Amino acid sequence: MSAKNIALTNIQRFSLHDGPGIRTTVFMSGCSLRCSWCSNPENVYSCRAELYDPESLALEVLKDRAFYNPGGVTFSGGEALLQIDALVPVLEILERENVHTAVETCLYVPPENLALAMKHIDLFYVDVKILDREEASSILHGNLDLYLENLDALMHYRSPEGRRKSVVLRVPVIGRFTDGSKNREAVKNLIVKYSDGIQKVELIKEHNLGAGKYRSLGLAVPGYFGVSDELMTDYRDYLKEAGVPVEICKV
Amino acid sequence: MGNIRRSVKSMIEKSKLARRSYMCVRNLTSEIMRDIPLIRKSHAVQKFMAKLHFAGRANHSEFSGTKRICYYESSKAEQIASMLSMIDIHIEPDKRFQCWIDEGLITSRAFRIIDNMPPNYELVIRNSLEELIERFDRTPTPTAKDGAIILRAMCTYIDRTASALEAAGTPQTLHSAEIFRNMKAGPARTFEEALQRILLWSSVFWQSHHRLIGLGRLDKILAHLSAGNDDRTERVNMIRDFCDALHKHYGFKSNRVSRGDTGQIIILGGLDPDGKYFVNDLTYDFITAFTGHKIPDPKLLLRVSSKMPDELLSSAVKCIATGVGCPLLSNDDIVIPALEDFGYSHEDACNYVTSACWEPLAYGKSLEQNNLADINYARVIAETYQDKTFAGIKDFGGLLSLYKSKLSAHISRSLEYLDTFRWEEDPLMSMFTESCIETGRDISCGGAVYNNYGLLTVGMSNAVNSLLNMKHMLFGTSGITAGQVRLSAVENHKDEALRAELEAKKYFGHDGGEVISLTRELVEFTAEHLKDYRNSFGGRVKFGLSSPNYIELGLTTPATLDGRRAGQPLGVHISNPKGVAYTELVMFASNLNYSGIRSNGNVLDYFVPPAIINDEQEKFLMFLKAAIVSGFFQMQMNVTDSAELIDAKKNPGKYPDLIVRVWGFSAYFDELPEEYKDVLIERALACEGKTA
Repeated sequence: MSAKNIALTNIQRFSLHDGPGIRTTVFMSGCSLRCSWCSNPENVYSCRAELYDPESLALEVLKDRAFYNPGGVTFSGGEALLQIDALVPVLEILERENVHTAVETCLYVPPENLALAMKHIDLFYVDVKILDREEASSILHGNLDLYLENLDALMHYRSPEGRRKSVVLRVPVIGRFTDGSKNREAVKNLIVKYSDGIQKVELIKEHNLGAGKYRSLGLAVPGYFGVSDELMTDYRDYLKEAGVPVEICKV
Repeated sequence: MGNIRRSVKSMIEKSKLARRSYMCVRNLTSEIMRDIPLIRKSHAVQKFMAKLHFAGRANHSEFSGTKRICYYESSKAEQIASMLSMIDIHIEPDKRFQCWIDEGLITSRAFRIIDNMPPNYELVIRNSLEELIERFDRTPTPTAKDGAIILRAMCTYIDRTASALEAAGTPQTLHSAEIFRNMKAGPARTFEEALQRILLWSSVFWQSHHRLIGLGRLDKILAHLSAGNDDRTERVNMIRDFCDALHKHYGFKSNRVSRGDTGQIIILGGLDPDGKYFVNDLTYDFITAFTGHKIPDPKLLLRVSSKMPDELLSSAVKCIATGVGCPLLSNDDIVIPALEDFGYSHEDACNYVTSACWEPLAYGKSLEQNNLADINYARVIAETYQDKTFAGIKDFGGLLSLYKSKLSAHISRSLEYLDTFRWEEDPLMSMFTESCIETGRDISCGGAVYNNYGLLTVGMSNAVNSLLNMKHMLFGTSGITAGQVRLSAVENHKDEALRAELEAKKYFGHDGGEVISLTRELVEFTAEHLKDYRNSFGGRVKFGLSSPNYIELGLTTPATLDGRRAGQPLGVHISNPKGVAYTELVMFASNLNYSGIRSNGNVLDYFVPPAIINDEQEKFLMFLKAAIVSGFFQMQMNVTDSAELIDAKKNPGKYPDLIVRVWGFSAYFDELPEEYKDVLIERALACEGKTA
């Protein structure tokens, strides 16, 4: 029997917002960043991860196989790509079963992890958070250069058949952290740079739906400073100028 | 006779005191009359029976008319003829359709009435009454003779009605009078005429105390009258008027403790014998008419299949999304083979309709009294832990054996109860039931093509959760003993910590191998014990995992080992515990066996927050399509959320149009008894992953 080397906190069936169709979302434990507004703190701070071996996890996510037409499995987190080595056997089973796969990633991961993921995963939801080197380091605890290199690699990836990866950018709009005009402009420039390879951009408005989770973990609930609906629509219209579809996601 | 009077009188008082439902009173009536055939002709006793009728009815505000009794004198057909002559006609000159029930007019009866099914009205749509009288006069059978008596009385009743309409003298009433007169002279010429005929005959069934009278496959039997009529908007309006006419006498027609359970169900769509899916413009028009039409009765059932057009399923979802509580979805890909396995011919299985809620039956060919008693799996759990040997059980096999021995005895008692039923002679229903006229045998004497009975079941989820709790708790490493469990349970879960532990783990509704396997095992055990039953007509008995009685029977069921206290409601149909996704629930349901005698309605029941069905309608449609292929039997849903229900309970009147699916019927939330509201709120919370 394979080792139980995949740590996750939850498997959510009938997920409707994590990719095309009806999906099963696997919330992986552990993250490379420390975003103060994180809505899934249990995946970052919790010690209560469940351990799976690849076959068991594949069996679990294939339970809803009948509903994946279209649809499939999305790996979320936390940062799913931190465990890509362990996930590869799962992904191979899903490939054989012709199940669509997606990942939600911040891309603050070693490049070799991304390289493995690109071989096996169909759709990438990539976070675009803070594009200032200093702030990324101080607020997110991340290396922006690593992020930018990984994004570049993803956008230039071609399969042996010459196909690109599907990429959706997700932009969290968080008061005082990501909503400043300088950051908005940098986000737009990034989209312009890769506009021919981006499927769409999703703007996600700040919310406090994770507050209960912080409390149950014994952690302080983050302070939220608010984002106006007007800013969201202005931001959407501004990003649309980059020539890709932009939508505001419902939370 | 004095003794009988005293006993009837005492029962009237008891039924008033206990606020028993009409169904209970009806059973009492059968009980009293069973062994006393001679009293049928006694007016004194018939009067008592009429009193009983009023004492046991649910409260309703539309009660009208002076109380009169139509007695049985020489034959049942003559009694119905007499009833028709006594009806007070109530014309509404401004209405497109004329429909009334003389609620004060009671027709006495001695035995239980055959009902809870839709008559096949094709007979009176395709034929004139004069043609039918001629045909019946030519047929040398007693049932044909009775039929002709009723039809002649109907002609007189129609003449009376037409005269009253003509006397009203408005263009609308003159038009209606012409429609009524043609009922005697020819087949229905238009869709409107056919609907008026259905309303008239339906009201006669209600008038003669048949209850839960469905409407049947209206898109099918009216198909020939919809061709060439391109004014779809007008037709939709006409259907809405038809529904409003059926909705009159809502209180009178409601069956149980609350308003809404009328059984007025319209069946749409479905697979034909050639394997093609039947759908026409009328199917869509009925769904359009119901979409957003905020009345809880009548209601729709849509027969779905992997072969149905996406567009039709999409229309159904749009209708459900408006919160009207319907259509219920019945999966032909599973139901039809199950009915064939039960013994219906392929053609009859493909032409199935249902009793008031969901129990399938062959259309126009059945006695099929599908809802005669309940098997209560939860009560058997109590009988199991109350047994002296429970404390000494060593393993799960021993526990299951004890449970099964109790279940076996419980099922035997249910079967004995089935043999106590006697049926009121019914020349009216016989006329609409194939083979009764030809063979000369009344439906009450087994004259239908199929003469089967049905049982419902409650508490399967309580039983399965209880048994698996015991499996893991007693025979695992918890250290808790059977003696401790028993001691706490017999005192209604005196040990709160233990009760909370029992309640915490829910298995039923998950799609793990262990729970599916145990559920299947109990279903098979039940099937094995029912398979050899034959009623006095040679008919069989079927059962299913759905029942309206989860609250009523919960009241008398002791504590169960899933943490449920005595008196609390039992589990509802096949529904999801807290945190179980719809897909998982469907996979659980799709892994059960529904074939043959297991086919008496198996409803998957859940809540859908409006945001999902409105904002993600396309994905919800994908879900339903995949669910149909996966193989659920039937499915119904409530489109609302806990916040709305909690607010509605706190503020009666704030949501006057809030319609909820209760069991097989829908009702205004405001009109439900408080305990029903509480169950709905609790289930909505569970569906959202929240705790009450």
